[in-house]
Amino acid sequence: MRTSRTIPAIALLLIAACRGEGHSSAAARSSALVMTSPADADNLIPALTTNETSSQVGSLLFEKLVEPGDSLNTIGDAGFRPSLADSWNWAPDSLSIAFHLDPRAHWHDGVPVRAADVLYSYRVNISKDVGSPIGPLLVGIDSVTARDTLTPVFWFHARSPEQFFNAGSQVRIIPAHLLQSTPDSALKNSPFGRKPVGSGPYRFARWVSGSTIELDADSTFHRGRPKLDRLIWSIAASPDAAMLRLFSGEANFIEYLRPQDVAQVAKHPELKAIKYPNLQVYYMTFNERGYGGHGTNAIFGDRDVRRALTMAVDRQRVVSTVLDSSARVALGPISSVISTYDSTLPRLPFAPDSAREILDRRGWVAGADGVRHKGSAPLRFTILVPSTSTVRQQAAVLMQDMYKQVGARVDIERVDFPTMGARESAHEFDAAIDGMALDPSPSSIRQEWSTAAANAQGTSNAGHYASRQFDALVDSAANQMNPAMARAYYRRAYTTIIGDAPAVWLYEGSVWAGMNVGVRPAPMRPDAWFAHLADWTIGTGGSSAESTSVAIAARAH
Amino acid sequence: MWRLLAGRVLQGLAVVWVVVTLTFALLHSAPGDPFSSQNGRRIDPAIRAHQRHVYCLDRPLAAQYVCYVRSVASGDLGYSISKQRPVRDILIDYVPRTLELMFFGLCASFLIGITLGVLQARHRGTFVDWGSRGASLLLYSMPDFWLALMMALVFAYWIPLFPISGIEDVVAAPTFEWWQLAGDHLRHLVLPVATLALTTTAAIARFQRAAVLDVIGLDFVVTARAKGVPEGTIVRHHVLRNALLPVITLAGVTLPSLLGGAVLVELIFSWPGMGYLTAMAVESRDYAIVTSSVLITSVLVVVGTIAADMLYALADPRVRAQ
Amino acid sequence: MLVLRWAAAGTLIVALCAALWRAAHPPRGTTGARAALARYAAHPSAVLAVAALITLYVLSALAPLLATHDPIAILERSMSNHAPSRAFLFGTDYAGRDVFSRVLYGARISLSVALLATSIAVVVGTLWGITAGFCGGKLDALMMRIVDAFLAIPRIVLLIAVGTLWAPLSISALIIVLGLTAWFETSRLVRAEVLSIKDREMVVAARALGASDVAIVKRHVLPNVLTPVFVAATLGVASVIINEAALSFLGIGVADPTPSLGNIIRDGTPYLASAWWVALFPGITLVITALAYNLAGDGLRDAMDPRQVDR
Repeated sequence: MRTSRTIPAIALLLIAACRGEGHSSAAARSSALVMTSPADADNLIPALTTNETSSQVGSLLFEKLVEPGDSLNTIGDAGFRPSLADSWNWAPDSLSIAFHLDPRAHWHDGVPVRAADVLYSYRVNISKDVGSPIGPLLVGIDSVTARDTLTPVFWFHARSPEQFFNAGSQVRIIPAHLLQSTPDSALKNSPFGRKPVGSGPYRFARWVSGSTIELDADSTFHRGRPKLDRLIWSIAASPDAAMLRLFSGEANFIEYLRPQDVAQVAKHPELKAIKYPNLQVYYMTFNERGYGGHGTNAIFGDRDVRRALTMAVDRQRVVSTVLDSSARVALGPISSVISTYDSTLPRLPFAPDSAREILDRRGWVAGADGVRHKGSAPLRFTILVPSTSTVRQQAAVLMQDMYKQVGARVDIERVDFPTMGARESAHEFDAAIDGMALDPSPSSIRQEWSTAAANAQGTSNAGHYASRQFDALVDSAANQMNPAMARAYYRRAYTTIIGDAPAVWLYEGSVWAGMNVGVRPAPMRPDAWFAHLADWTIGTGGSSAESTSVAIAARAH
Repeated sequence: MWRLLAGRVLQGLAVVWVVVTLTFALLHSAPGDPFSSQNGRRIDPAIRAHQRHVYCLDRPLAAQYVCYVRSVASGDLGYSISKQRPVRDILIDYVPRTLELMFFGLCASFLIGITLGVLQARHRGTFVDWGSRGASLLLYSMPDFWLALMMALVFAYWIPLFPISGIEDVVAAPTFEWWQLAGDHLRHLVLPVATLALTTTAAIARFQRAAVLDVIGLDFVVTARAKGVPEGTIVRHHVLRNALLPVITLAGVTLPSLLGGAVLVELIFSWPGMGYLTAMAVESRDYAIVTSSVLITSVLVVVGTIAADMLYALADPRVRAQ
Repeated sequence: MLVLRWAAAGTLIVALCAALWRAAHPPRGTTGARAALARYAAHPSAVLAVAALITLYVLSALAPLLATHDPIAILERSMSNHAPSRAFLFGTDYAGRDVFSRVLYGARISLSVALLATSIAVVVGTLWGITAGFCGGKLDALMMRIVDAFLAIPRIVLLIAVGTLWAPLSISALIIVLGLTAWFETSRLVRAEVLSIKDREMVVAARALGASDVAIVKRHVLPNVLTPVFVAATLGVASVIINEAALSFLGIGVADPTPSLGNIIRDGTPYLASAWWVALFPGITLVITALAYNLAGDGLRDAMDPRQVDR
């Protein structure tokens, strides 16, 4: 046993391994955006996935016919920019729209983009065998035809305010010439999903599963060469491992900083934190049904009690303690970024005295122990929070104290995310602090708060808010062609739901992203911060003090 | 020799069959329906139909068991909901990386463990012996994930010698020559392998020390010493040849602990192997991956144990003669 | 007030150690258990190990009296990730909770879970081994094949599988699961012991005299089996503690906000570089506990079998 020789041999090997720091020159690093994320993509064909990373990568590989502008106005066609289509025409009766494809647009294998690709992509998205999540959104489209090789035409059953949005901005176009020989049901297993060919500003370079996804700039992109050479998704095992990569310099961007991380980033002079708006809203849902979904909840089934419980909470204080002073209190199930937002919406004030009065009136009388009772039932409930979110936990703790002041006894239950989802689907909760990612389209509020949503299985409207008035108003709004009339209807719908207090509206998401000081982001669209990645640059210089808000200009509502 | 191998393989197959039965029992006794939607996530109807067919879900339990064994034997390990791919394809990507870690980990821990054990036996009673035994007992008592965290803290953060995680330098890798790629890969291997090796080395050293001490007092060694043969030669030619044998059998015991250690070490160092896959499957409640992990690791252990047994038989003529 | 309680706890620990020490130094000529105890006490490391274990168990059992803060209360956001100080001996974690109190309570949970789980493992393993060894034949072969299969699966992988399929696990379920996955080595040991005893003259004679199997087990098998089982159990507690910590670290062991040494480390992992104290102290506690059990087990093995000379 040559122990005397093997040890030096091993040592030499280690030293040799150490010395190869790698020839990743400053130049290579400066033109690559390394985004660290804890989730690997699953399938890169857009119609087949809801995975966040897959969507991000897919949005840079494939294009839609048109893209929403930064104002996120989805009604009519004024708020959209050309993407794969450079112009469009409406038929006089508005029952069809013809898109004119940019003749310079081509797939990464050289073949030009044609109308046949649009027809194919549309067909795949409504196919039952594929089960695309976008499918249900395309029901208003009767058919798609090709007037010539560069002009797909969409035909509609009827006019609707968002018909242009649905036709041109829901579906990402995939290449027919590479995929149409594959049956729809076999698309899932097609190697294309792991080695895609798109038409977007970036082409697929490589995917090392569990580790890396890389896209390289397509210098022949029809709208101009992207500024960044390479986009790399560096997959880390967990949000914590992702943060460590940012701190050690192995990555230069992370899309979400938890509040504790923001403080950490401040301690690193080579990093900066940038705030950008997003479409998340957080609120505490009341379960209006009994535990398990049957009957009416003794506490939350009563509209006045819900209003009282909303007035008992100093929402401004909760939000500024738990987040920071610049965080926004949510007005309702809407975000200040969507086009139908109205800052003058009426809101329930913080008024614990009124709350107590209402509770008295509704029969909840204060007992000797400070807890109110109605008959033998105490005013007692449990708030469900995810154990991984300190923000929500801290909010729950603060609210617990505020509820104590008005005579309600509150417990807090922490569970992991999957369990929370399961409990909410099964209606096995009293109150739960939820977060919702809104769609830029205001009509999507139906998916979350309508009676139909409550009756469907799934986590939407877990509290079973059911108001015919709200349903009717939202339906009218969604079908209203005149933008001003639509906004009026939406305003009335929002007023109704705010007044009914199915939830305590807590805060809107404004997210912090962490990045190296040299990274200069283009405006980060709230529904897709990565929408303009092709315009980002990485330069030298810049400082930590630059932490600012890359805000979309606030609309004057 | 071949009869020995055949016997071992049969035993191994029996073990694997018991494990398959165990995973079947786990899947069917767990609450909820592991084959349907998980936590409100809808399952593709095509996948659902495929599963119904493959697992014979409409038939009685006994038939389901037969179907299950048949599909596992043919390599169909189910469909991963969280990754939207058949488990077999995912494993093809991830298992080789764990095998790599195991290979280097085994080599490192055996090399160091054997050396240490021999050293301890030779210098028995001195500080070298007590000191290193104490150190290895300490390492043996450490949870591997905590050791991994401390290693990451010291060697990747405070003294940035090695990369914190991953298997490659994501930015530079496409530009590397093959030898740079190898070097980069090795650099990324160092911390996870070191962590794995440190915990198993302790166990091996303990065992080896005892084995050497068993031999070192035997007559033929004493004779050799009396004849004036140098100590080094005695150790190498006489003692080690006999003392190494028992350590080979340790491979059967170290493999499960190495594979188990790999789960947390891969997670902490983001080394995308099977352990990492298993740890991630916990978060997403991916039953297919979690049970496949049980199957695959036990198969690996069985194969490794058979290999170790064969090695032992090759080395020890007494066994072959049986 | 708190200081007084700590002083009382310290006194209790010293008293227990002293009592054991006296018991371990019996007059010359004693045999049996006390002699074994004396042999055990001859190793300084083993003695230290027992002292450490007594300290850990007393302190953690008295955690509600000795903790400086509420281990579950989330403090103000400004208090998160603070370095150790007079008020917070081990610092605070990301949620502003006192790490020292959490470690005390966490040790309580981890230590008791490990002890209970190992008890289950000992009982199951002993029964399994006795049955297999005594009955022999096909049943023995089947039972041992099953043990082989379980031993081929890395323990943590099996625990992860069970923990994920039955998530979330309550603490009692966790104890049962940990116990039911820790008995395999014990059963092998017991079976080996049973096999070696089965053919001894005493047993053969007893059988010839018509003694029932149960009586034989009670009189001959159990006493001989207890020794190696006890040693294996002590060593086993160490690995159960580490496995529970690993499960809690992964999130399927003891659930938040109940502290366990494993999930405190989990809380500290994201801030490893900046708030290293959160992950360090529970880890050190784990290491000390496992080390103490390992040393104690080694010492026991040497003490129980006077023929086995410590080289």
